[in-house]
Amino acid sequence: MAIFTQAEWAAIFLSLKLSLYTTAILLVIGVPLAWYLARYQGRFQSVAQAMIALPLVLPPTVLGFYLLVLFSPQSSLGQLWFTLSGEQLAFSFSGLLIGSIIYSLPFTLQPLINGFKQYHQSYQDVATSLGFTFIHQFLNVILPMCKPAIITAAALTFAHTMGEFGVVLMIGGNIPTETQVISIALYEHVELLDYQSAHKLSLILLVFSMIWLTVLYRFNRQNYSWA
Amino acid sequence: MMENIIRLNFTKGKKTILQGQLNWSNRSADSIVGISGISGSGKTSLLRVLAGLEPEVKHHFRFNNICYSDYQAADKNIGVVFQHAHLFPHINVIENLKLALKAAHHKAKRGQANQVTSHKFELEQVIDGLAISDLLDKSVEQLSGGQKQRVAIARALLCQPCLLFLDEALSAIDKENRLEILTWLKTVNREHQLPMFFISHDSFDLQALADEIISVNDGKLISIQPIELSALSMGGGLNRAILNVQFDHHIQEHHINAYRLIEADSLKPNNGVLIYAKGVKAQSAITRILVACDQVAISTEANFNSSMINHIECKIVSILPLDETNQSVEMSIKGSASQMLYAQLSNYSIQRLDLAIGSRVWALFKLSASIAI
Repeated sequence: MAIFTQAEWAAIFLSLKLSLYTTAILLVIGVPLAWYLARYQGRFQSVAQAMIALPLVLPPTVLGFYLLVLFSPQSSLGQLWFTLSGEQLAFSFSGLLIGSIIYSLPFTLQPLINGFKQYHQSYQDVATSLGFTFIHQFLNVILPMCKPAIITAAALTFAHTMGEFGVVLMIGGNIPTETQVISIALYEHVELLDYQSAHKLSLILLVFSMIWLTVLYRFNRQNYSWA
Repeated sequence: MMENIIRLNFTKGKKTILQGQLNWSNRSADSIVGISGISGSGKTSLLRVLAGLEPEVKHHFRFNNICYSDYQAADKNIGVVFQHAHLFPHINVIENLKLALKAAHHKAKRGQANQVTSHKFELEQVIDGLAISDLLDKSVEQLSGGQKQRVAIARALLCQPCLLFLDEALSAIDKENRLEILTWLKTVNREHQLPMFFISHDSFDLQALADEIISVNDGKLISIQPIELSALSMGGGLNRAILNVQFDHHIQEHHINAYRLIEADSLKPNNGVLIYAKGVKAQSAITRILVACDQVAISTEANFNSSMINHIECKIVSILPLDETNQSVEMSIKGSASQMLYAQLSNYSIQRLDLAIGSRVWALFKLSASIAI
């Protein structure tokens, strides 16, 4: 009994893999970056905020277009990548991953920055006076205290990457098992007027997103208010 | 004698927050230093700098032979109770306390941290002492302001400090419970040999607890004086006599304690004078009794037919005007070289009794138990 074709399964797994990698990498980059930005008060604050929010408002195709240009074998980045890895960046999974990381960055940073901003200076003073060095403070106090924000950031990043389309289309194209994610496979079905297959894939994305967000909000309710 | 030093110069832009230098010798290694001054004078800034929480401020702080200013904030091993308790909101009360134990563990393992500690504080002991056993499973937001402060004190002790800073740490606790905690803090101070720096706007708290008083005014460190000397300069509040006493005996059927006066300089009991206060048997051998000047009456002859249980023979040392109608009478207790009593009397009474410097009088007063610390 085959609900999905092999190609569709491949697209589903590729989307999951892309989301997982993107989320993991973004958390590693995002936690220190968000900690810094939550405390940054310098003159470039507005510029930094704008840059983080940019992928929210920019059409994904614009971002995708610039990335495509940047990734092309004619560009220095594309050339460097080719020398290092022996493959080209555009139309590859690695290229897709970099695109996703940039595109989903605000979904990681915003919840983290909000979470870290709740960790007032006064809590830091208490933790320091108790005798926690910064690294112990981060592990024993800050991360546990900001756990809801971290879970939100991870869940939103994952879900957002699952639903990615425009950037992928521009820089990834439509190569099965390499760059053909669910949304691209769906697009192809519609182009070929195969509405039945399109329904299946749409439904699975819809149901997945609904359940994912419900679970997130159900279990990540902040059961304390910030004093 | 241990030489203690505080020297700092705390400025923000062109504004001076706090500056000055104090040198003094402790009377004992576990002394309690009170910090007094009107709000905005720089009391909190002083403790923040000394605790290392204003890392950009250059300062020198040496106390009990430990040069605290050589250590990073997390390594100083100074416990701090902040005015607003700042308990961590994501964990409950007992977890907040256990976090402090964890911090103590990290400090002990860290080579560069100050490893001097007072006698170890056990979890059960601070929970009992601060009467917070009913709160352990509660979340922080369920607590009242006073309860939060109790937990914050417990937390600061459990990080096993060798010096404790209290910044208005009892301000949200009501008067009755406050005395209980003050008494307990004094016991902790003596039994654990834990010195304290203690900010309070309440002159009673300072006189009950402090051995020395640092005066801060308008961003300047003014002075540090023994509490007995700074009693008169305790701005605003009522003048109180501080009597150091030793528990002598308990009169069971009337719930009255009798105390013997201790000479402040020699620490020897004075055999001539007994002070009576209502109460159960005192816990510690040497305690402090505060006698507020407005509770003392004066008689020019021995009058044992009075409901005032204490009648102590004194000699008037000075009479100073307080305001248009009242004067403050300072008396030395007969047979004691160092202990004083104060009475607030109206001009009319002073005239009527014909009081003058050198007059022989009897000070009459009664004490409720709560005043013995």
